[in-house]
Amino acid sequence: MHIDVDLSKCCGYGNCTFHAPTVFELDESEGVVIVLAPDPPAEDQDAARLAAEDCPTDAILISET
Amino acid sequence: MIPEAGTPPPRVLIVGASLAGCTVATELRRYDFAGEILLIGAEPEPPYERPPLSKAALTRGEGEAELSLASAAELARLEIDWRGDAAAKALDVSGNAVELAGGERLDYDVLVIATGAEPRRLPSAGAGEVHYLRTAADARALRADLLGAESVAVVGGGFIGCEVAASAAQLGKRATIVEMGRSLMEKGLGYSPMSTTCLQLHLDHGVAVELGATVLGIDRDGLRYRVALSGGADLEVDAVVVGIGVEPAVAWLEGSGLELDDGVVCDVDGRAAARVYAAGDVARRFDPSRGEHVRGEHWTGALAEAKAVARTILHHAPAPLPLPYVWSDQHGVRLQVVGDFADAEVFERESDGDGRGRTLVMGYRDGRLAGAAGLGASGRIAGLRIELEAARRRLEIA
Repeated sequence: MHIDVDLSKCCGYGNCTFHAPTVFELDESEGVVIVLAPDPPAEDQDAARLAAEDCPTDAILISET
Repeated sequence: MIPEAGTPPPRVLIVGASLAGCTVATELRRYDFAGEILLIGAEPEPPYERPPLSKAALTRGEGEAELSLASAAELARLEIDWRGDAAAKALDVSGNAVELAGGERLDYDVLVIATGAEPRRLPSAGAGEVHYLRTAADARALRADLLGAESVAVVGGGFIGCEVAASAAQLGKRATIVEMGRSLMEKGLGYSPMSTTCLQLHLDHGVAVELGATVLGIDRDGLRYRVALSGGADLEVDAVVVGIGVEPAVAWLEGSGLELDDGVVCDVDGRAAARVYAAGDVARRFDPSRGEHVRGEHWTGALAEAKAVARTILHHAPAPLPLPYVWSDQHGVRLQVVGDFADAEVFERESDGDGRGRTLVMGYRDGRLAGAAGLGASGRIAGLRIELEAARRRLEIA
């Protein structure tokens, strides 16, 4: 799995870091997502998919490799 | 013909092709709705995002490619019949038809009203002399003017005015915000410690702010403008932008029989009448957690309402709508407001003492956390938002 984000779409909602805190975090000042684990391990992948689904702006792009 | 409960309708007509309208259309297809979807918009462009209009559209000239919500090709691929430049003129509720400005009548089985809102006009400004900012065309014209300007007056200190002033400052222009109230972004921030922090943020970045000031008149003076303010001061500027709020776009619904009261009045599921729904800035929706109708003006609310309307049309169980959430990017930092903040009874400020400038203010009502505002405090705001949503669910179950 590989994760990309479209920062211009990110509105800092934070559903991503809530679902997958080891994969996503928010830059405190600018309020945009930081991908901590762009190629997350198997145990984090379900949470990453949920994060992408729950992002209101569809800013998270997951490619299932 | 009236669709029976449990069967999806053949034609859904969506009037308004911005965030809410476009989202109803794409959500219907996401749920495999196989009927006709007609999505009509007054503007010529395919659906696009408005939040960047006061930010990257001004500072970087971002346009159709970057702002697109759904391209004409994508809509065609989804078999969503999108028509731009198609303003609605009237609604015939008993005849189940919408009349366009050009005279064409469009029949529907279900109608979604998503015509949004229009900028309030400044009475003291001459016609055509000042910029309003709602559409991509507005943003293009404003950017062109800003690039050639040295100074700009921004009338209105709400989210739009503050973002425009910050964008102007980023472009190296001298901006002055003229706000009639006693603080900036009063509708979103109330009169709270966050209001003071935001005022200081603008002052620190060289933006002048006139509070408690109204515009008495605007005169052209050669290539410049003289903006006369109450209190006696005059501003001499190269450009004027007005952002004093919006009014829901319901003029076309006069005489339709729908209840109009600061927007299209609808129930919790967005239903305004049999087979007629409303979503987004135009919708004054019943909010059970507040026991009253509320018209939102923010992105995540419009998105959620649109998704709820799509579910209701297809007779799916509705999902609860999220708490209010606003984000605003000013001077390189993100301001976020969640929940019921502006009307809180008690405010408590938390600030980052090490000078990184992070500010968090909590708002309490009836002794409980009701909302929060953060400036450069995204991690905390995200956590608080989740907490507030969980607390609300517990209250509803109790």
